[in-house]
Amino acid sequence: MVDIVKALSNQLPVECQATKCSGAECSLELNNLPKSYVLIDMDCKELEHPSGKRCDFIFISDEDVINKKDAWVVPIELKSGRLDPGQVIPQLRAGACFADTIMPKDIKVQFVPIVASGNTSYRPSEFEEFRKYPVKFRQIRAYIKLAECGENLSDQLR
Amino acid sequence: MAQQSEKIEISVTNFGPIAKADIDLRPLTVFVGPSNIGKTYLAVLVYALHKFFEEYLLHPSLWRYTQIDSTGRKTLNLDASHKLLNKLQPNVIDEIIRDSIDWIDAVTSQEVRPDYSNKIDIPLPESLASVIRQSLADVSKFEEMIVEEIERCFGIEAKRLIRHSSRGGSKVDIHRWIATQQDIDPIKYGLIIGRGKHKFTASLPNDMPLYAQDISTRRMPRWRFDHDLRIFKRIVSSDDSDELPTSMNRFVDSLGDYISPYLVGSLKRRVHYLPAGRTGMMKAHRVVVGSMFRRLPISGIQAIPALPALDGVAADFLEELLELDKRRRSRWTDGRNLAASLENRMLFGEIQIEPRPMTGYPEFYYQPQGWKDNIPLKNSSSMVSELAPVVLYLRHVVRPGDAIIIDEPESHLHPAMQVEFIRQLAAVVQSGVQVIITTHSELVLEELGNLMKLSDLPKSQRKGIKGAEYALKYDQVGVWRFEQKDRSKGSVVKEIKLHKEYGTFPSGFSDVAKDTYNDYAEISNRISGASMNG
Repeated sequence: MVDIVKALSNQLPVECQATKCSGAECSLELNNLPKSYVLIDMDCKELEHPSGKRCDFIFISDEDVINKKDAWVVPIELKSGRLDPGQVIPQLRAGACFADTIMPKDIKVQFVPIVASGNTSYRPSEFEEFRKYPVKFRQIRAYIKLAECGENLSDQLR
Repeated sequence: MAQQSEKIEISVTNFGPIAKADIDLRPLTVFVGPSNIGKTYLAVLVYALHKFFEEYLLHPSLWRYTQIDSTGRKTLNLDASHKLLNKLQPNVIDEIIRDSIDWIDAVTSQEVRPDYSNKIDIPLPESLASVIRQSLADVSKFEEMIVEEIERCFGIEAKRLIRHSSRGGSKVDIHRWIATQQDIDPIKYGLIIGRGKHKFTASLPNDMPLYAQDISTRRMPRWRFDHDLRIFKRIVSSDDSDELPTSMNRFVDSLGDYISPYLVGSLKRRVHYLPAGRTGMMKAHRVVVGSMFRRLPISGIQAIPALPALDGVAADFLEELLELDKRRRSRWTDGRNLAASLENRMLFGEIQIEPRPMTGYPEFYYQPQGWKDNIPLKNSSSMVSELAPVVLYLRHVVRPGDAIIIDEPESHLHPAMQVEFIRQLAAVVQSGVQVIITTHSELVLEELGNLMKLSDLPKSQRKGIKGAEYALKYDQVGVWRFEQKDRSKGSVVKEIKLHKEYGTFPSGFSDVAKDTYNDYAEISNRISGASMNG
């Protein structure tokens, strides 16, 4: 049985392990989540990013692994203002790349990229972009889930 | 334009599905929100209020002289200002007479231009204005008439429009600011619809100047006003002390006639309502009318079976439709051009009226471009039937300064046509017609946002952008969102502003689009194995 969260907690600098999922004017609540998780603050200086682009957080949980199900890998981008698919999609892809470097290779995961936004007025063209460009993690192609600032992260992990 | 020279706020409490609504009527007013939440209720109420002010205050003397007796008959009421004047001391009456003569001299000495374009703002002397203000504020005699008009337009008893939870009845407050007097309190009209009794009140601010001649230059020829003033002067200058009270009353009443339309302003504008069921009515008007006529010969012989029930907005629509005459086109060139533009850009054909030979009953036809023969409207597409009344109203009925209320203009229209229709409606607004719409269409709001955003772009840089010629200024448009806070408590109506960065309104429509996208993402992620729950 693999205890991924414990391993990552030991491996990652303490400064990079967030207790809140919040940005300048947008945040996601961390209620009703699996008990065992690590939330990586991707803005943390101690982290080495393969590319200049990055998402804001990566949520990783192994609780379902313990229950003989797959783990969760959830790159998260928080946007208080306009939601620009052209900007957000590369950021979440960069998050997926980073997650690939720290997750064990021989493990199955559930991969859900999430963007939380303070903008509640979308244009249809924005949805078209999200439909066209899923985010890839290893062999998994996942469509980005859209959340609202202030929402529970667990609501998107249904 | 009258619509830009004043501000009219309407506040509604406990009316139909609406718990609370505060709106003001702009050149283009939009009601958005979920179904069955009160958008049409508010639109019909606005229509009923305009109809009341239009019908009963069309002739100022009705305002001044009319009262309704217990049988509903209109009778002359000459008491209002008489009672007020009788209470005044002789020295106050003398002051009113002196001030009135000075005022008449000042007004009639001004140059009268042949086109009556000059507006001479010399307010009535305060001594006289205070008497007229008080007599004009006596509107209690209209309370049954305004409620009857609301009942007629909704087609149900007023008490059934009161929300169950309310104790004090439904409340409608209208505040009207005149542009030049926005630093003082508004003119206020208040209506309470009760389960038993109703109450209608008006109040004019004490410090509000009154300009009788403002009406004279806008509503009637200046020479007529000057002529009347000379008669008034003769009346108030009369040495006959026995005749003086009567003369003063006549003078005050007559000035009240001039001023009352000024106090109501665009509340008395002509208003037209195109109900959501217009497409069906365009196709089936003969069935409805025929059903009524078939029953008429048996009236008096036996009890008439129930006639087709129509609410007032539908009945008014049908009436205006049936009175259309192809020979009587509007003299308003812009209206005819707007109708032609709708035909060219959206219908790709012409809407025609042919009166039946014997009865003159109008039949409506659609002549597609390039077709040899026209086809009856009932055989045309839903879009043609949907837009035909708009074309016909613009060509035959609507005049600048009127208001037109369109329920769900997006009905039966392809998305591209919804967008084009909003451009066409923007052109109608720019021609001086007030437009009020209810909508469920995100595209309608998106295009509206584009037309508003266009006004930020200098005209020289708009070339090649669709709808560039119809750009709307931000203050020309008001969008109100209806939200259901709690079904038992009713809906709340709040203004939503165009987000300058996103160019969209927070209408709530995109929440639905976001939810359907997220459902798509979840389904796709489960299919691909990205997400295994469920």
